Amino acid sequence: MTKITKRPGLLRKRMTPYLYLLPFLAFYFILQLYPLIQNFYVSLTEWDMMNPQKPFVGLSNYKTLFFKDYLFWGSVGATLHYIFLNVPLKIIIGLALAILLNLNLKGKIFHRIAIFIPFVLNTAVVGLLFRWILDPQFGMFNYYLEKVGLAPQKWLLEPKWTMEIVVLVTIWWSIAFNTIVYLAGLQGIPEELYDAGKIDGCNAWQRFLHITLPSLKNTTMFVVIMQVIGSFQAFGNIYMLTGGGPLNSTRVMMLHLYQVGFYYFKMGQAAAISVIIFIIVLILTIIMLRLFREETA
Amino acid sequence: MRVVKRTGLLMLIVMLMFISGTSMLFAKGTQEKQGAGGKKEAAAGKQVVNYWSRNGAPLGTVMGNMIKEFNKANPDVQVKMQIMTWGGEYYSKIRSSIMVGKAPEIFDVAVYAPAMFLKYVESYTADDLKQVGINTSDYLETTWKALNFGGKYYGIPIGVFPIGLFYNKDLFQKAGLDPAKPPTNRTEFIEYGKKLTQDTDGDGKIDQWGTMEVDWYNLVGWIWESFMVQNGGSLLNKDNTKATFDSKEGVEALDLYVDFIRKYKISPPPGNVPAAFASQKIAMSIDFIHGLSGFKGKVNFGVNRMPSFFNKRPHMSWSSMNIFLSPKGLRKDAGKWQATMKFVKWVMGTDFQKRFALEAGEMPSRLSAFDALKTDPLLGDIAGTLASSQIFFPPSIKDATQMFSIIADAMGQAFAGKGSSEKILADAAKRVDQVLAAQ
Repeated sequence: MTKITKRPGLLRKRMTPYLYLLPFLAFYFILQLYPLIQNFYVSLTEWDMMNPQKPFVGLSNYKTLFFKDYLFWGSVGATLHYIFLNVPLKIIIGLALAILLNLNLKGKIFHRIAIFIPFVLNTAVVGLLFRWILDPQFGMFNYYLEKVGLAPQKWLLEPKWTMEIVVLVTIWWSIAFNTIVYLAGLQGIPEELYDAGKIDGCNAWQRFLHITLPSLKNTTMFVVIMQVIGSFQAFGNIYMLTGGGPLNSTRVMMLHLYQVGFYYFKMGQAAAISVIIFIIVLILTIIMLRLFREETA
Repeated sequence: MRVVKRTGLLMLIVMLMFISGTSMLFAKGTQEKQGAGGKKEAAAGKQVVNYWSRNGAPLGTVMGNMIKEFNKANPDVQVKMQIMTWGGEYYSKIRSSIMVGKAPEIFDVAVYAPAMFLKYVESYTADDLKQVGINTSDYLETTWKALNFGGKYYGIPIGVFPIGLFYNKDLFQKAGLDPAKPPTNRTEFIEYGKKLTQDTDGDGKIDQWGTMEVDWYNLVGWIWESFMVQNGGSLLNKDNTKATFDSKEGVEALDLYVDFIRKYKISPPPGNVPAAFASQKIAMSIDFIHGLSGFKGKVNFGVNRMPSFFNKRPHMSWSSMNIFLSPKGLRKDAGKWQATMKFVKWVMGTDFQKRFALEAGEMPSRLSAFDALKTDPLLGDIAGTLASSQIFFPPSIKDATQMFSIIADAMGQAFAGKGSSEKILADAAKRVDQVLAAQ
C-alpha cells in the first residue's frame, strides 16, 4: 500500500521538468520541426500552391535544379560571392568599430547610437533609400560626382560591381549587430591581462594579437556562424536593391527560391532549394564548430 | 569541455533560427483571410462582393472611386475592393486563398494569367456573357481567342492597355519639330530622336534624350516582341508548343532595339522611363498607355500608336488586358453569383468603359465604346489602333511568367552586349522550349 501511494508522487517529480518544457516543445514541434519535415516532403512533390493533392515526383525537383535550371548554379555562385564579401568585411569592420567604441573617446555614447541607428531601419526602407541615392539618372551620388567633375556611374545597373555595392549597403545597414556583440566581448576581457602585457613590453598591436583576439574566440565563432547563416538567408536587402539583377548577378539562392516559388509557382522546386540551403548551412556549421573546437582543445 | 557544450547549444540555437527562417514558407501555403468580413452588410440584407485588384494608381484608384458610385446606386450589393501589390505576390495570394477556400468573389488578372488558373476558376457560358450585357461581336476577335480554352471562356475582358508612344510636345517644339506630327515609322523615330537628343546646358554632356529603354526587362521583352511582330515574326508557334522568336525577324527586331543606344545614340542606358519622361529628360517614351494619367498636369504630351518600326504588320503593338475571374464554386451560391454578375455588368457598360478610359487611361474592351473615343484629343489615335486590330495579346500558357523572365534575361544580355542577338535569342528559345515541354 505504501509503495502504491508513493508512486504518483515520484512520477510527478520525474515529470515536472518535462512539463516545464512542454510549452516550448509544443511550439517547437508545431512551428519548426513539423514545417521542416513538411518542407522536405513538398520538395518531393509538384505543387502549384492550389492543388491540395501535391503529386509526388520523387527527386525530380532536385534533378531539374541541378541539370536543367540555368539560373540555379548562377544563384549558388552569387550566394558564395555575397558570403565571401559580406562575412569577412562585416567581421573586420565590426571588430574595428567595437575597438574604437571601447576606447575612452569623447562622445562615446553618441557614436554608439550613430552606428546603431541604421540597424533599426526596415530592410525595405534601406533598399528604397539606396535605390534612389544610386539611381544613375536622378541619384544623389551621381549628382555630386558630376558636381566635382567626375563621370556619373551606373551603380546598381553595372553587373561588374553590383554585388560589392549591395554588400557595402548591407554593411552600412547592419554592422551594428557585430559591433555590439564584439563590444560586449571586449568589455568581458579582464583589464589585468592588458596590464600584464604592458609590463611584459607588448606594444598595442601585440596586445591586440595575443590578448584581444584569443579572448574574443568564442565571440568570433558566434559572429562567424551567425553571419554565414544570415548571408545564406539574405533576401530583403538584395530584393529591394536589385531584385537579383542586373543580368542575375545578385540573384542569390534565397532570391531564386522566392522567384521559383512565388513567381513561377513551382513550390516543389522552391522547397528543394531551401533543403539544399539547409544542408549546405548544416555542413558548414558542423565544419566551423569542429575547427573552433579543435583550436579550443 | 564547457566550450564544447556551449558550442553545441549555440549550434542548436542557430539551427533552430535557420529552420524557422526558411522552411515556414512551405509548410502549408499561406493561409489568407479575406480583408473584409462583410458581416454587417450581410445583416443589413446586402450581398457583399469582395474584389481583389492588382492595379494600383491610376487604374485601381479610379476603379475604387467608381465602385463607391456603384455601391450607392445598388443598395442590395456592396462591392469591397482591395488593392494588392502587383506581381508574383498578387498571384500567390490568389492561389493560396483559392486553396484554403477563402478567395474573393472576383479578382482581376492580366491577359496571360487565366491559363494559370483554369482548374480553379469559373468559366463563362454564352448565357453568362449575355447576362452581363456582352455581345461578343462587339469585341476584337483576338479578345475571345485569348480567353478561349477548350471551347470555354475563362475571364471577362474589362479593358485593354497596349504599348504606345508618349511624346513631349514642348520638347518637340523646342527642337523645331511639329508637335502635332509625332513619328510614325522607324526613319522618323530615329531622325526625331537625334534632333531631340541634346546638350541643353552646353556642358558637353547630353542631358536630354530622344528616348530611353526601360529598366524593367519584362516590358523590354514586350516592346521587342512588338517590333518582331511588326516584322512578321511570332513568339511561339501556333499551338504554343515551341519557341519561334529566334527567327530572322526576332533577331532583326532585337538588333534595331539595341541600336537605339549603341548605333543611333538616341537613348541612354536603360532607366526609369516614366520618371525620366515626367521630368522632361526624355522626349519620347514607349510604354503602356495607362501611364498617361501620371503625366497629366506635369508634361504637355501626346500619346500615339506605336510607330511602324517594320512594315510587314505596321503599328502592331503588344497589349495586355485586364480580366475578371471568379473562383470555382461561386456559381453554387446563387446570391453571391448574381451580385457578382451585377457588378460585372456595370463594369462592362458603356458609361463605365468610357469613363474608365478617360480617367485611368485603360482602353475599353468593347469596340462600340472605343469607337466613341476616336475623337478624344489624347486617346483618339490609340483608339484607332484598337479599332484597326493593331494590337496582339501574349500567348496564354501556364508558365507565362517563367517564359517572360527568360526573355527578360535575354533582353538584359543583349543590352549589356553579352553576345550577338542570334546567340542570345537561340539560347533563350531553348530555355523556353524546356518550359513549354514541361507543361
